[in-house]
Amino acid sequence: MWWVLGGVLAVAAVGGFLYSRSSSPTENAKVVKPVSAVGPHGGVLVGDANAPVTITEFGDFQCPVCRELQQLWEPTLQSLIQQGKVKFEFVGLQFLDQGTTESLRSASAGVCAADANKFLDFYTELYDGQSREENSGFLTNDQLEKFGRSAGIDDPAFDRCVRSGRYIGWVGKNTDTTTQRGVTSTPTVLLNGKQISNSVAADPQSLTDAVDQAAGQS
Amino acid sequence: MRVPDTLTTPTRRRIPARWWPWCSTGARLVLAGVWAWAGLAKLGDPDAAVRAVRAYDILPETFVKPFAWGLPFVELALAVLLLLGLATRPAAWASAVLLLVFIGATASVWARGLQIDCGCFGGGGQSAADATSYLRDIGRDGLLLCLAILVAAGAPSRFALDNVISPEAR
Repeated sequence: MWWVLGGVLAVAAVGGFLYSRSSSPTENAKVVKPVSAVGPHGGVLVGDANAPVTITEFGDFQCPVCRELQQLWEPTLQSLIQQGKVKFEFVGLQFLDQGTTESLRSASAGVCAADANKFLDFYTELYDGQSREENSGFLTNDQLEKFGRSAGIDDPAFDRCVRSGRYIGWVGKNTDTTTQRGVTSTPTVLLNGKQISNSVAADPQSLTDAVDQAAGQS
Repeated sequence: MRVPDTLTTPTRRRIPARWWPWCSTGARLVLAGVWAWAGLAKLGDPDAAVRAVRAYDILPETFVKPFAWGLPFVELALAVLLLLGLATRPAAWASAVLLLVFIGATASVWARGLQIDCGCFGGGGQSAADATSYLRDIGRDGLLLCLAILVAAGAPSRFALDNVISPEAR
């Protein structure tokens, strides 16, 4: 009877591998490099390229704690970017999808918004308008286009980018690379490549102090 | 007059021998149900399965995708074999080995202080799991391991194809 088990398990493992590889939404998507600036971790990059400090957020537009962080740090972050002290990298990830594609498509749409030079507005719109329930079907392509319009994007190229899922392969690749780095939760925040706690990131004074200290060192 | 309890001889209550095949049948079906649930839950999201396996930080990257994509189907295959009662004992031993692997992996993650969700029934492994949930996962897998050993080493179970195909090999 062991041969029955061995045969069945071998067929299941090999067949399962081939089936899953063919049904993975990211595995088969073409990886398209964004037109807009790309940060050191493959994320969207906003701000002065010569700014001494890079703040990186590994986030998921469906993640409620990411939304809380965005609400708390946005004025400070905007101000630090405008002062030329900080460039902000957002690595949108497919973390909370459960057989769905809301995180994946919204992160991809974020790159489309960056191509339209409106990433921060889109980022704010998406977190401000986040659904209370994950994977509820709220983040349709129509909804993502609406967020785009609220962010001031009126370029039809944005809609085409969202609908075609142009950056789905790119987001999948970033998610792979990020999990290989050991990032297992969102939001994870890096300051010049080193992780800082979310409580430091969320507190305006602590964040400003951390940025000033890092700027002094660089 | 009633005899005081202290003077009576204590007797150990044993499960009657005729019940064991039914215990084995029940354990077999519970295991089949759990494997089916675990396999089906992972099936619909191959990307999440990869993230969950990677979050354990145990397998080299080369093996992450083959393991993540093969595992749900192996779980489903075990579920079908156990449900039908075909190659029951080998399937139960394979279940025991797989459960030992899961227990070892969870203990390893716990010992290394990583915070992940086990991804046992789907999900991408990311979470702020604490010691309580690791203990719960290990406890659940430990109970299932006992059931697997009962099926593998105990009495032959009822309503099994093995009984029809090769009764002498039971």
